[in-house]
Amino acid sequence: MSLGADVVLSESPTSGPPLPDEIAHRRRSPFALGVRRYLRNWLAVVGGVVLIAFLVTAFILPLFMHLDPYGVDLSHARQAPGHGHLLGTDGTGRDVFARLVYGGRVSIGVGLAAATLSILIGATLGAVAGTFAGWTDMVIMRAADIFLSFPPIVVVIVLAGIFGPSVWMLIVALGVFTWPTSSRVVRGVVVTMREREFVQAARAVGAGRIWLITRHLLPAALSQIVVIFTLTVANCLLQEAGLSFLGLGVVPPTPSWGNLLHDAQSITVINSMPWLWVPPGVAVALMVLSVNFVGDGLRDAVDPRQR
Amino acid sequence: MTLLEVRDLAVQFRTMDGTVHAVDGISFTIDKGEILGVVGESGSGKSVSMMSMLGLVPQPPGRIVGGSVLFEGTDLVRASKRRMRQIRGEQIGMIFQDPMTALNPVMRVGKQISEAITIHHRRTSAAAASARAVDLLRLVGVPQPEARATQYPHQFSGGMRQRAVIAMAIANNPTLLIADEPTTALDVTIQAQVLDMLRRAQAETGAATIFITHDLGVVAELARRVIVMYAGRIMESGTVRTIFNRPRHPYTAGLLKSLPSLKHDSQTLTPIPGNPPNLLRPIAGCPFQPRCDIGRDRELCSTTRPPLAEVAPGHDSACHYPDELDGGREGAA
Repeated sequence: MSLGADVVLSESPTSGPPLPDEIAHRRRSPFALGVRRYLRNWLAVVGGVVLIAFLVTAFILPLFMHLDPYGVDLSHARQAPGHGHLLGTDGTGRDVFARLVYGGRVSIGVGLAAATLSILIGATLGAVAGTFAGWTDMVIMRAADIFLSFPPIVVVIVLAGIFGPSVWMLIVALGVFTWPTSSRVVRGVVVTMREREFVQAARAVGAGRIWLITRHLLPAALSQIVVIFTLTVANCLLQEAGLSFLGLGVVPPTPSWGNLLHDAQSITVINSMPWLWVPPGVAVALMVLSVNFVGDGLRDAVDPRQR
Repeated sequence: MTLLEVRDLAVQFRTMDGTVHAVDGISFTIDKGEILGVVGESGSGKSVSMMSMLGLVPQPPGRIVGGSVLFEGTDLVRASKRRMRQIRGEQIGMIFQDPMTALNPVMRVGKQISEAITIHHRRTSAAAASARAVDLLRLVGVPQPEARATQYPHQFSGGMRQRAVIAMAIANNPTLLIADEPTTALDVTIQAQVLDMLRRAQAETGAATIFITHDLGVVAELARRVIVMYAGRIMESGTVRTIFNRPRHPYTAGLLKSLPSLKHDSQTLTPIPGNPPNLLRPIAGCPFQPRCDIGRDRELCSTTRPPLAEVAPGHDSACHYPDELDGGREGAA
C-alpha cells in the first residue's frame, strides 16, 4: 500500500501522566541558590559584616550620638585618646572619632556616587555598543580605550588645578574615568546574549532594541554589573583617599578619610600621635578589603554554574 | 485563500570564504489555516528562509538578495522595521527549536508569555496580561498553570518548556505560525505530546502553520502539504499523500528509501550516496545531480537548472526527468 503509512511513527498522542510537581516545587529559586553560594565564602561573609558595620557607623550612628567634627577647641589640641575623646583630638582640638565617622560619610559617599555614575555610563554605553554592533560599537569601544589610557589620578590633578578641588569634581572625574571597565563587561555579556535563542525569541514576538536592552540584555548582565559595582566602589574609595591625602580631593574642613590622613604627612605626627592617622588608615584598608571580599562573594553567588 | 506568498526568495551570507547561497530562489504559498510541512536536511535552507521572512536573519552577514514575501498584502522583505515589529508576534508567531534556550533563564515563565502580549498591547494591564499568560499555559496543557507561571524556566522540564514557548507564540492569536523543528530537541516520548499540543493550538487559533522539520514521520502525521528542500532550493512540493506515495524527484525518493520501515523487513537501509553540495559555489544545474542515479551522467542535469514545474495537479517537482522515477520504494505505488 502507501508509503505514507510506513512513516507514521507515533500513534495519536494522549496526554501524558501528570508531572511530579512536588519535585519541581522543592527546587530552590535562583536567588536562594545565590545566597547559599555567597554564605559558603566565609571571607565574603566577614566582609559583608564589616561593610554593614561601617555603613551603620557612618550613616546611622550620628543620628543617635552627638558628634561634632567641626568644633575647634585649641585648649585640648592633640590630646591622646581618652578624656571624653574616644580617639583623641587633632591639631585644632577637633574630636578625631567624630571626624572619622563624618569622614566615612564623605569617603563612602564619594565611592558610592562615583561608582554609581561610572556604572550608569558604562552599562548604558556597553549595552548600546553590544546591541547595535557595527560602527556604534566601534566608536563607543574606541572611546573606552581612550578613557582607559588616561590615568584618572593625573586627570583629577589637572582638573583640580583648573576648577579647584571639590567633592563633586572628584565624583564626576572618577565616574567618567572608570566607566570603560563596566562598559566592556556589559558589552561582552550583551554580545554573547544577543545571539542566544531567547533573545531571538523575544525579537520574534516583536520586541524592539530598547525593549531587548531593558528587559532582557541588561537584566542578564545585572549580576556582573553588581560585581563590577563593588569593585568600582573600592577603587573610587582608594582614589578618593589618595587624592585627598595629596590635598586634591575633598577640601578641609570637610573631613574625609583621605584628608584625615593628610595630617599624617609630618614625621612628628607619625612618630608620636598615632591616633591621628592609624584609625583613618585602618578604616580605608578595612573598607576596601571588605568591599572587595563582598565583590568576590557576589561573583560566586551570581555564577549559576556553581551549585 | 492565500495567506502568504513567497516568490523567488534568495538569501545569501557573505563570509570570509565567499558568498553562501543559503536560499536560492524559492517560491511557495500557504493558505489560511493550512499546515505546511517543510522538510530537508541540515543546511538545506529551511530555517534561514523562514527567519528571513521574519526579518530575523542577522544582516550582515546575511542578505536577502531577491524575491518577495507577500503576507496579507505586505511585502515582508521590503516592510519597514517598525511594521515588521508589529507583524512579528502579533500576526506571525514563531516556535523555536530548542526550548532549553528559547526562554530567558532569569525571567519567570509567566512574565515571558505576558511580555509577548504587552509588547503589542501596551495598554494591557500587568494583571490582565499575566492572567492571559496563565490561560495560555492551561491551553497548552501545563498542569497547575497558576503556580507554573511564577516559576523560572530551569524549573520546567523540556516538554513543559516547549509548551511555554508555544504559548508565547500563540499569545496574540497569530494568523501564521512558524514552527522551526519544535520537537527535534525533545525526547521521543515527549515529541508526540508536543505535536498533539501543537495541533490543538493550531486548531484553537486557526493559524496557518509552517512546520519545519527533518523528520518525515512528523510531517506525515501533521501536514497536508509538504515542501522538500535541498541546497537552498525547493526540490518537490505537493500533498503528503502524493509525495510519499509517488515522489517525482529522485531526492525525495532517496529520502523515503533511507527511512526504516515497519512493513518491509529489510536488514539494511538505503542511504543516498555522497554529500550535499558546497553552497559557496554557485550551482549551474540541479544541486542533486552528482548524487542522482538518473542525472549523474546527463549533461542537461549538470548545466541547466530544472524549474519547479507541475507534474500533476498540485504536485511540483524540480527535476528534468520526473517520469523516470517509478514511484518510490520498490515501485510500491
